Amino acid sequence: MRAMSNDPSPSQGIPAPAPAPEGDRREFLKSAACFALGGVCVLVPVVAGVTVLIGPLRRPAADGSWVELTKLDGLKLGGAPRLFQVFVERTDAWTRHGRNAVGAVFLERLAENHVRAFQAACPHLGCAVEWRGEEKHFFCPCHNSAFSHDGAIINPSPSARGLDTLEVAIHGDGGVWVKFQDFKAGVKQKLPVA
Amino acid sequence: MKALLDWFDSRTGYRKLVKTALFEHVPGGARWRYVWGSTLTFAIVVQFITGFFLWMNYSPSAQTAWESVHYINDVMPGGWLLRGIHHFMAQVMVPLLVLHFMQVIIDRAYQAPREVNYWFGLGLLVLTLAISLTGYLLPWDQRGYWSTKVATNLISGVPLIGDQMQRLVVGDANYGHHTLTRFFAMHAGLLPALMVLLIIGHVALFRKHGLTPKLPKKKKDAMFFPDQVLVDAVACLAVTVAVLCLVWWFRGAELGAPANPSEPFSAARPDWYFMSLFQLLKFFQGENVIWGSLIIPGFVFALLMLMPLLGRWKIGHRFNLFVLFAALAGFGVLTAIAFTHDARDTHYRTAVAQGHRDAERTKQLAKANQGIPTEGALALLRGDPLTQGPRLFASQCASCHTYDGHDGLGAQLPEPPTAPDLAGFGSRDWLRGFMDPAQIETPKFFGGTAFVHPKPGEKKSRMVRLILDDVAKYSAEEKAQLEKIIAAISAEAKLPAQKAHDVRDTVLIEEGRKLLADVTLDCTDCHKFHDTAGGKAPDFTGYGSREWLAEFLKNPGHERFYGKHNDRMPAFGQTSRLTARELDLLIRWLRGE
Repeated sequence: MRAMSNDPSPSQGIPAPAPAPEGDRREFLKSAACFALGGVCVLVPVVAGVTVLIGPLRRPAADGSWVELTKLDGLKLGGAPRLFQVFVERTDAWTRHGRNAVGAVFLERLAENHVRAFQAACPHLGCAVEWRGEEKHFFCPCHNSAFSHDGAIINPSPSARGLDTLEVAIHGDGGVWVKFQDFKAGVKQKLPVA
Repeated sequence: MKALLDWFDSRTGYRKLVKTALFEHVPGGARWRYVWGSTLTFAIVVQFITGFFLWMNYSPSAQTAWESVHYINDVMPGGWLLRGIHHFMAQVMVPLLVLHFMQVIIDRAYQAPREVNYWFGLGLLVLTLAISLTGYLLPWDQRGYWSTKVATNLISGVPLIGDQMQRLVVGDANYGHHTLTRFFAMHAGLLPALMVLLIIGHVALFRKHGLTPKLPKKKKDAMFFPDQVLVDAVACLAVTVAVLCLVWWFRGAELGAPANPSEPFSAARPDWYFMSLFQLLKFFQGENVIWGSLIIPGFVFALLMLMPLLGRWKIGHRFNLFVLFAALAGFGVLTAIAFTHDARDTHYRTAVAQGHRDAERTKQLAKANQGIPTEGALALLRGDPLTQGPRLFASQCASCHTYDGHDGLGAQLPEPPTAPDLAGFGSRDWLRGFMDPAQIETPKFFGGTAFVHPKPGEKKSRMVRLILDDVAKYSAEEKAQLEKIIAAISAEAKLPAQKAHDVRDTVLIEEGRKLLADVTLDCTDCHKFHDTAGGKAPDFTGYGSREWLAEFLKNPGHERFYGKHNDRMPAFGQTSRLTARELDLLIRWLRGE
């Protein structure tokens, strides 16, 4: 068995050979040229591929979208927080979706014209939190993060911050609009996800 | 550092491996004729790299394959380059394979003791072609779809198990999701894995037996590294440059219009290196196709397989050389026949041009729509007046009408038209031409109709007589009035192309409307115009508008239009020859919307 290299070309990054005898500049230059040329050859497809690969990093950040979830009279004053599904028009790579499910929001009517909205994604690691009526708190079944009725952390908690509130606007026709956004999980600050 | 490498070497023995890999003996020194195997290995490495990155962005299903390739090709930065390299490297691999094969035969590297390695090489040749064939379908464009259909239909010609084999390959009786998932799994999974195994065997056997030197040796012996590697690297660089030039020249790899099972693409051709086999199929009739698809190619391949054994015969080597060049000549001649045949075929060229137009149009629509609907890109084309209008016109209207002198798609009518040319219908130019005594009797207007050629014993229609007798004698003042009336009638159509003129000439149009209402030039003797009652000729109210055309096409023999004077124009609404949607597409296209 003499050799088992599977590639005689320079395209798979040949390790440095044993040092050439001293003074043998010609041999050294030849080896250097092999690496340079081989490197260029392999770099071309790699550069093209990586350019495409990092495309998502170069897309502009999304800035949440306003969406109407319900009408004011659909929310009972003093009622428990209610979960609403969020559908928005969305472009996923090449596909333009009509109304596509993107997440869920808890709405609670605190006063005549005041609605509070919580992102239903847990700020710990993004599972969906649920409202536990008997304990009157929010609870995440993944890692047991619990949040009080007003969204604050109930310690001890794996979550670094309380539930994320979303901007709410009540329109003239009683429409309850929410600016739906995702936030970075696992950190203390509430940072919109680009 | 050295200590670390020493440790690594003591655990793995990598130095010995590198040494044996690199310090191969090259008898007679490094030569250009030895580069082909290395360039092929390099090409395969490039295909693996580019293929992997394409894989990360490709989605194999009937509604997403074309769409994701379009997204890679036309939207993602650098995507056209990535796909271009992958596509053209595959093209370049074929001549590289031929050169490698020629060198092996001519230099007698296929003879004992290298027979097995030669067969490995032939296996790699077949694998390369199989990978090309499966890759051709993946963009799911018209070309790949229809030409791959030919290939899979050939499978069903295999005796006994052909039908079952075809169904296994296609995944169903018809092309669909599972055709793509199966082809993709072969293209990116099994076939490349087999290829890696065969390459390992190929190179290991090559090393076992050593290089077959070209005699007589010109120089003293050299080492594989760096002498031959340097020559190989230069050759690989040349291959890279050639591929980049091709990518640049053709602006990346072409993506045709999305595959459309209901619209046969008459310009479907396999990639150029399969054109010789494609041409071969034309020579056999009926079920004899198996000769072209299986028996002759199989016989040639069997001859190639037998070359090492035939080579032991006294004149075997010369016989093999003869087979080699005869096969290459056959390949070349058949390919040339196929291409010259296409170049001279106007139907082929029309279909190619139509394919380009559809492809560009789909991309335009996707952009304008800010994305592709979930039904896929074909839905964009199906709802597009500019795409469907000409097709509907050609199939429904062009037995009598022309559009700008042709059938809507650019072809001539087989017989002279018997009804007016409808390009610009309702525009001022069209109406002006119609009212011109010199033009009304040409085929562009009423030249082919019964209005000009009445039944024996009847007169030409009143409108034709009016144009020929009265309009020809109009005074300058009357001509000016006619011009205003034309502007007023044309404004009824609300043609998008004439919008600027209609807005500019409100005064002129208003004067024209008054002239019509005042029965000047007698138009409203016969034609109704808004509140001015008319007679038995078509209504001018909304003439050429969407609503007018829709009603007219549904029933041209209605009292509002030609009534009993209707000349052969079918009622499309009553015969249900066209759906409401098709009517709408046709009308919007005719109106240039």
